[in-house]
Amino acid sequence: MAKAELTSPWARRIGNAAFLTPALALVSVILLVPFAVTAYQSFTDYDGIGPAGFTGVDNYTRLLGDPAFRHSLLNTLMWTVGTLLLPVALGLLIAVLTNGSGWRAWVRYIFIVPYAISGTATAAIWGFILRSDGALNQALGWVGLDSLRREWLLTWPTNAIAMIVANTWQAVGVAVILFLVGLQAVPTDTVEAGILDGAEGFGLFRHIVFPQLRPVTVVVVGICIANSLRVFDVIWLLTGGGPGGVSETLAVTMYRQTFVVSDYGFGAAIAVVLAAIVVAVSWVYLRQQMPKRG
Amino acid sequence: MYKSYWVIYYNKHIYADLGLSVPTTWDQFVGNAQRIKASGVTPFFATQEAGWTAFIWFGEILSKLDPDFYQKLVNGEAKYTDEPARKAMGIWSDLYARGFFTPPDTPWDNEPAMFKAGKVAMVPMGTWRNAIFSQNGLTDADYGAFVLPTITPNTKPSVIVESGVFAVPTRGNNVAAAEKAMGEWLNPQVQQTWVNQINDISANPQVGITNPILTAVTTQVQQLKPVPLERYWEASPPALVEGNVQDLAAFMVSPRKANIDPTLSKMQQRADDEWAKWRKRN
Repeated sequence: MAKAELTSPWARRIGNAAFLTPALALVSVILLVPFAVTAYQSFTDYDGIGPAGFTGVDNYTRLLGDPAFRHSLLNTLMWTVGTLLLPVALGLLIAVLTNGSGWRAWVRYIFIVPYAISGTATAAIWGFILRSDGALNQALGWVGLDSLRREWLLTWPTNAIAMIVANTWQAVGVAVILFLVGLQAVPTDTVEAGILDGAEGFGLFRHIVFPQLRPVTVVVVGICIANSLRVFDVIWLLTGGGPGGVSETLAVTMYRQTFVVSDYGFGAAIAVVLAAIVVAVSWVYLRQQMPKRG
Repeated sequence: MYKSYWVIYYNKHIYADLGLSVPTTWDQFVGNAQRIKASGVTPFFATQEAGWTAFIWFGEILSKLDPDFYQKLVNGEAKYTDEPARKAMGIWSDLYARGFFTPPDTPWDNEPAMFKAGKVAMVPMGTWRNAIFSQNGLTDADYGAFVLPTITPNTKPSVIVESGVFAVPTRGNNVAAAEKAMGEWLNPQVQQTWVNQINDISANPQVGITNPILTAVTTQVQQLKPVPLERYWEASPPALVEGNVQDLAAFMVSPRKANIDPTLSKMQQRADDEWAKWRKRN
């Protein structure tokens, strides 16, 4: 049976538009409209109840002069660097060691299983470990390492680092899975050719295997950047962003200013800054890493 | 909905084992804590883990040091940098230096279990907390409660009071009927069933109290005739209180003398900002 073909360019455009409209409408309603509302709110002194007065760029000037905001920005940077280094590097390492001749395959499940656990449960488990009277300090005391006992969740930067580690424990699973998929897609003949040419050990991995993992690495790094910028649940449940706001990242500051302090305008300004950072980082990263087309 | 007094709950077994009696002066209170500490038990529960819980000891100590100042401070008529606030923080810092408190990241949810197990001897909290203690099987044979003594014998006695309310919106559809229905809520018969259920004190003084711990508290209140003070959490504009509990939380982590003035200056700066906003809006 002959297919009806859309030969005229206009007809084709209308056809394309018809297919695109539902997706565009959905994105507009659930993403662009709320963003526009938030952006507008960031220029007001809206408190969640009363009428919102237009205050121009006041909220943004306040942000610039606020040491707590700068500290929150610093924590966000630490989280980004930490989540880039740890889950990506550990994920790759575990995937390589449990793929093929290294450790046994079941070892990988130890690292993958936490990925199935929610952020809330992760925080509950790590709270039990990290509190001053928690499992870690008790264990250190038990083996006679009292000098290593810390108030893990109470002092900065220890609490930020401890939470990055807790988050890594949960997040490394997805990196392992993706790297394993990538490793299994590396054609064996390239590896054999490398061996024939005298490559071995780390050199073989570095020059033959790793370059072929590039597409997967791009995805894993992208996921990690996105996760680090939006991290909320683990921090909120382990320290509440405290004590005294020292462990807040931008997402937590945004939430606290909006829904705890009821300073919706100020919270919206933080949301806009965070969104700008996310868009800028993603854009630069994807521009750099995605294969160029036509 | 209820009228809670803020009291210090104490574990009667620990008190009996060490031969301690319920303190009527500040010195006895601190002396008891010293004896408890020496026996290897943490005397006082304190945590900043739940966020809001950071104001509890600040409010208790300040109100027992100078109730009039406390009132002025929460009303925005006195400054956090004034002498009584600095002195209260100094007392708190001393108690920390003596190792009397639980670590500041102790989960608030663990408090009833720790109190029951005798891991902590005294817990400052509203009488509404009585419900959870009794639900966990504690009776008046296990614990009691007292209003914290004033810091000096000639300080005016005071007690922090907390109440929950049913609010009727003034622009509601049928305000008169709603108020009438709410009025029925205070009917002693309704209240009796309610307070027996929640194990707290009714806002209606005609309602009898059957729980022995609450009876002891109300008897003490009747004898002391303390000035009722509003709880810190409700007493000032919300943004001010929310911000200040963060500063108090940070102080609990590092309760050094050198930290007192920076903490109070920060709190006062926020008070200046938030009271200005509050007055502009209301």
